[in-house]
Amino acid sequence: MAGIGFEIRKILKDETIFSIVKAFSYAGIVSSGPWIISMLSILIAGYVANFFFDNQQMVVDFTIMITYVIAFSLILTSYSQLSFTRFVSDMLFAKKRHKVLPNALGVMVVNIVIGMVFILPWTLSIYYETHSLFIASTFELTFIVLCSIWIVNIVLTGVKNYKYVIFSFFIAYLLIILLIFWFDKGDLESYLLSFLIGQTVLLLLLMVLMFKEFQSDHWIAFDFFKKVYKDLVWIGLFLNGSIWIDKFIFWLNPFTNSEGIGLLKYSPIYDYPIFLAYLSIAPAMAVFLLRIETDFAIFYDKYFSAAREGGTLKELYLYANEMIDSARVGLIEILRIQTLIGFLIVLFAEAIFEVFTIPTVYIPLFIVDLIGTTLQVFFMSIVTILFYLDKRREILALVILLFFLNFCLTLYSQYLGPYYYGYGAALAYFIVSLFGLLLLNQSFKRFHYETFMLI
Amino acid sequence: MIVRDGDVDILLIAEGTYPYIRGGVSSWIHQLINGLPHFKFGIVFLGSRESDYDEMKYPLPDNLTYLYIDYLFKEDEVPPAKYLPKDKNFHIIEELHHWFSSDSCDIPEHVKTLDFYNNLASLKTFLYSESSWEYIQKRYLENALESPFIDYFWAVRNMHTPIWRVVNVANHVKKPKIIHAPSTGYAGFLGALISFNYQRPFILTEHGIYVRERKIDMLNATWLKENKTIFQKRLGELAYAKQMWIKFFEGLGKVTYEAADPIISLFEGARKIQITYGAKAERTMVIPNGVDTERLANVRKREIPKVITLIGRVVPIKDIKTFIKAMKIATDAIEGLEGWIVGPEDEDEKYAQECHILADSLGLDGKVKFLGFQNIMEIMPQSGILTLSSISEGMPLTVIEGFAAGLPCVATDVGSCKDLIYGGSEEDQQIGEAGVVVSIGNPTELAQAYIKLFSDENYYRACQEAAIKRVETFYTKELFLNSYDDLYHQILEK
Repeated sequence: MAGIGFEIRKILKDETIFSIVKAFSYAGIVSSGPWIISMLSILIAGYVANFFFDNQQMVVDFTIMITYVIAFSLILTSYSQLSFTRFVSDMLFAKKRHKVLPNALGVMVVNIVIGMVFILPWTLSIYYETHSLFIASTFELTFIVLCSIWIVNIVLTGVKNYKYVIFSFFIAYLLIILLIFWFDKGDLESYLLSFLIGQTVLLLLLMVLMFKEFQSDHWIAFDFFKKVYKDLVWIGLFLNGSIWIDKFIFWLNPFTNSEGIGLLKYSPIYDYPIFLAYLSIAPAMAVFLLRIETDFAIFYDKYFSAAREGGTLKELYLYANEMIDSARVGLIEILRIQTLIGFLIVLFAEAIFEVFTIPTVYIPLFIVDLIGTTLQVFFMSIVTILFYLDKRREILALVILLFFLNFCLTLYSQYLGPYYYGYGAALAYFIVSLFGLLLLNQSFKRFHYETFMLI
Repeated sequence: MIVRDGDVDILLIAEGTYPYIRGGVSSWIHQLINGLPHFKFGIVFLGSRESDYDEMKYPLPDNLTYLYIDYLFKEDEVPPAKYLPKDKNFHIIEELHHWFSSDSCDIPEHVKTLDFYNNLASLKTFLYSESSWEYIQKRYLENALESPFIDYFWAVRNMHTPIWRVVNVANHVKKPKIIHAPSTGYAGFLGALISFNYQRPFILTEHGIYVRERKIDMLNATWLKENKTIFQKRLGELAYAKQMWIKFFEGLGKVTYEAADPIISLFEGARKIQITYGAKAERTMVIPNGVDTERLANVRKREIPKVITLIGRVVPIKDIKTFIKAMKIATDAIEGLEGWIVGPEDEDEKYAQECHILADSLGLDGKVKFLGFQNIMEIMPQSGILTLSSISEGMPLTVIEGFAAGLPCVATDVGSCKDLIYGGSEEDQQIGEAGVVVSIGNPTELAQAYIKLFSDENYYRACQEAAIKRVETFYTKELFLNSYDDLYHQILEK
């Protein structure tokens, strides 16, 4: 018999098992998790310090050091955060669970080595000013511990044992406060040491879970560096860079900064209101992530299972519509909750500022920051959904745009004067959110098309 | 891939056959090229995927001066996936598609031009344009509402992508003086494209009826999920994906018939079927296969070995299981009888496995032997009867080879078997019966025929005589080669 009928049959058998590949679903928590944790840490640290210290300069020194450690550790590890998340989910998908642990340790080692050198100028400047080897080395060590925490945190998002993670954070911060009481010295050294011990315990607790979940016969491996997702590296760098760029501008501008320790400057007029504003976004963020992790992710999974396993087009339409609806509801909820919380906070602003002993003159700026942070959460949420849709190129474009907008507009707001502080970042997030929404809209419109046609 | 790159008089288009797969068509091609050394032949081999083929099965003749190898389902060379917006010319493609799935025989001009596939309806447009996606959804919602979308989608993709592979071959292949395709399908489509676009004469020699064979494939296909629900389909109605494939091959068939002249078949029955499938009657003609009677005459023997030989691939279409069942009945009746199955088992390993199990479970161990591929010159003299239990055949070459070697034949009533065994024309029928024709899927009838031949030597001798006379009168290699030699010359002179 002439023809290739029989071969066609074989081919079809092979081809229908083709993989409609899902993007990786942990991006949301990864990109938002450390960020929320860090903002809370800074606030708690500031509040605790404020509560215990008599010496205002010590409050400032302590808060600045913690802020810098967090900011630098996030920026330094940003190249690896998203790309390593992807690596972990690839390994889990490929049933190579044993590769996770050694590579996590590999990334940690690399980050520690780079980080130790990177942070050195600031450490030296602290030593130069305080002449305390103890303070300088605690600063350096805390930095390294935090760099490691972010990586372990990434690995653990793959386990989804959020309870344990939150519990660990809670234990760590409780320990910090207890240690401060226990040392009962009231000096910078004991506070920094308490913070370091607390963070180290946190790292150990997280690592226990990591070692338990990802057993391996290797200690260390560097496979991750062999096949890095370059776009994720750049997204990580620009995203973290964007989050901090406005702050650094205010810290470095001689008209808006104040002396801290050594190279560590700060900007009271900018820092107090914005970190306080960050506190307000936690509820909206939590609600959004919950919705994404539940409704959205469920319909997303249903869609792809149906697509692979012989669902009809009607089923696919249905699941996709539900998925898009939950994304829309999630995004609207952020704005709704934030508006409500914003009004409440503004209403009680004076009382809140008194609790944190922040001068009430900052309230107008605080209101701008509230809008800015709301838009920031909104933008991060859009990015989270775009990650689900595997729109890496689009996300990269957005975060690069954000970086430059935040940089330029913040500078411009400084040029315009104190009444405009905070508007720069807010406007930047507003613009990228608009672009993000347009991209999201387009991606949802082409969702079926892209799932099937562009593979 | 171009293996040989000389000038070409006659370009043969081999879809999944010569020189990589043995079988009727391949033998035919090999015989044709070797038998007409004064022509320069070219071959375009259209395979499925490279991995489906091993080494070449035939030594390439010297007058095979051009060899172009391509694979219709290869995965590389697909343009990179990129968003393409809606295409304003897409309605032309829709109209064309509508023609394809209709019964109309008036072929739109677009189907014939390479320019259409290269530009207006490019592979990129098909694979990535939003118009294409919308059209696929629309067709699915109209026709296949309840079936798994992914199967539908991939059926559409797999079915159509080879069109552009064929177009690519048509763009690049060396243009011959004559195109000659041994089947419709993709091969026939390629022939038609070259013929239409470069104004070359195109001969079609259909061995089986390609479209009908594909239909049988589809009827037996279990690889397309049939998502039957109580609301959905009438019993016996084909799943839409299957219908789609059939319509597709019918469409290719129509295009091929439109381009080809003459449209040759191997026997009268096939010619009639071609006409029902859309071939213009005045273009049709019959040129039967021929065998090397002189060579095969050497293996004729006086004694009658108690061996029944089935030469054919171990695949469902050959219905090997019915032969095995018949052997159970026949071996019970005749002492020392053996049944040999001579043919490769690798095409459908599951089916082959089932055949082995069936033979074992019927206690035919040692009585039914699976010999794999063998040289027929060695098998023929050891056989007493040649048999075929197929559910579909064209003109089976093994039957006339068996005749030439002096073997009567017992075959099912498929293809040209009746003509071969009982004679086609009146003159042919005068020669007598060269064996027995039985109905499809009937082991008892098969077995009775075997028993009759082996138990009545006079009858056997009569059949043997008729067999030899028939093959020497109508089915010699010389007749076959002369027919094509004349045909080629005629066309070249025009």
